[in-house]
Amino acid sequence: MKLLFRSLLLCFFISASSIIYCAEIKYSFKPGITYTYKYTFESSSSVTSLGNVKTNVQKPIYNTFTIKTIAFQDNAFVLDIEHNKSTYRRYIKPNGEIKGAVSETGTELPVFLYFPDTDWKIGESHQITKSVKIKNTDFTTVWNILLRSVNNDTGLAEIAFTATLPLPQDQLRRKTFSLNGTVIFNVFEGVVYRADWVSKYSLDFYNKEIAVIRNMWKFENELRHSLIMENLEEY
Amino acid sequence: MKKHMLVVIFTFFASVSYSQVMFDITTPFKLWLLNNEARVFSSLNLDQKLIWEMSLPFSFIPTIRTENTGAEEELWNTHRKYYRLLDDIQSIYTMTKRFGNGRLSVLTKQARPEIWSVSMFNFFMPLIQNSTSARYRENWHLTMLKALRLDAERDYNLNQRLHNSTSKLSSEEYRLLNSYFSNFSALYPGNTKIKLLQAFLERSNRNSTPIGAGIQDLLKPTQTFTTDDVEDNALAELEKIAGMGESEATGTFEDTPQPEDDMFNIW
Repeated sequence: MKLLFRSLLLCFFISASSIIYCAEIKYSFKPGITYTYKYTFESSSSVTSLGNVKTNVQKPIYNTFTIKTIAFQDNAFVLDIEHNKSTYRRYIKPNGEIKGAVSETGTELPVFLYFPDTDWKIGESHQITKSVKIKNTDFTTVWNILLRSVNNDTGLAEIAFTATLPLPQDQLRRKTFSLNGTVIFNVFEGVVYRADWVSKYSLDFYNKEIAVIRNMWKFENELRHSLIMENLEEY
Repeated sequence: MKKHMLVVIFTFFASVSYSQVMFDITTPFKLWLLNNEARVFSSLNLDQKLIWEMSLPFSFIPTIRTENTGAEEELWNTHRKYYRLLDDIQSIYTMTKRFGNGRLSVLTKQARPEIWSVSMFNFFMPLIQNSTSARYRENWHLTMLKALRLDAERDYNLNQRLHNSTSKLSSEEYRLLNSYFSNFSALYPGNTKIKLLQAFLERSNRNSTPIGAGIQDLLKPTQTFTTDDVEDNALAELEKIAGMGESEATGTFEDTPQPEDDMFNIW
């Protein structure tokens, strides 16, 4: 009986060692290292006009960019991001939050998601809210992130994310938007290994008669993004 | 003298633009379609800006702006074809309404400007009249056509011109335009101009009575003339199909979107 209990306990510890229940997800760019990523963008769209459908599928667009880690100072990584013969210097906190982008002053940066500063339990979700001003109107954008799993052997954490956008609509313009994605984060290296996300948008445009509303045009657009780390080397 | 010339020129151009307004059958539909496009453009533009805000989730990705031309571009291209076709239809309709009855053709024949212009030579050089009058007449006729913005080659067969314009549309585009007309008719049931437009489109698909019969005589005049008006049966038939009365055929449109509908308030 004792032997059975001990063997069960051993089995539990062995299995528990390969799966961890919480993790600290934070960037850890190494100074002197260049990270190379390949970013792929695909787009497909359609417009339905009173039963007449037109579709458009664009060829994938490939972009390669490199990240050079210059230093870690004032709780932020100093990164030189090179793309298309241009270099942008960004200051990024370990949780992924942007601290500064000196060379991009005056340029509008997208709303970035970042990870919680504390230990993150598997199955736990977080929300990041940010207000964006366009044409003197404030729109509240929301990122939802969920830690799905962390593999203790490979150090790969799977994080799901979604976005919510309050697109302005009325009786004659009805819209939907969804964005879903997954990121594979290498906890040991402290970098994103791979990420894929898809956004879907639709706009239904109606014409209104006295009491009847009839659909005139329906616009649909799907954007597929893919990011994968291709190389990691010393410079 | 200069003042008089200015008055004549001003009156001529005013009458040309006035006649275009008088016989306008396409503007209400074009405005409706343009207004719908403007509303959609505005929405798509704002939405794309917002979507871009969420397009690159990680702060280490450079701001890569990718060209994203969607299927809507094809729709706008089709609409551009419609606007060109509608302009052609408007031009044909205006021309037919203005010159289709043949009155101008009769008037120019009656005026005989080539005789008046060389009459002074009758007394001392009578032979010169025959040799110059024909050329005077020809030049006068060409100048008149130019002033009226008529092209003998283009406008002699208006049925053919209409057919050439509509044949630029594919069968799908043609069906879509008809659906737009039906939609517009449902929204503005009192607008008879749209029925006339539909009738024009249907006409281009079959061999029927030529429209603007009087124009042919104006463009390539024969020397014999009659004082009777050439009745443009084809146009009258189209207007009958459209259910247009006399006042509607020449007057302003009543059932077009009015300013209180706030057509340009796209928000």
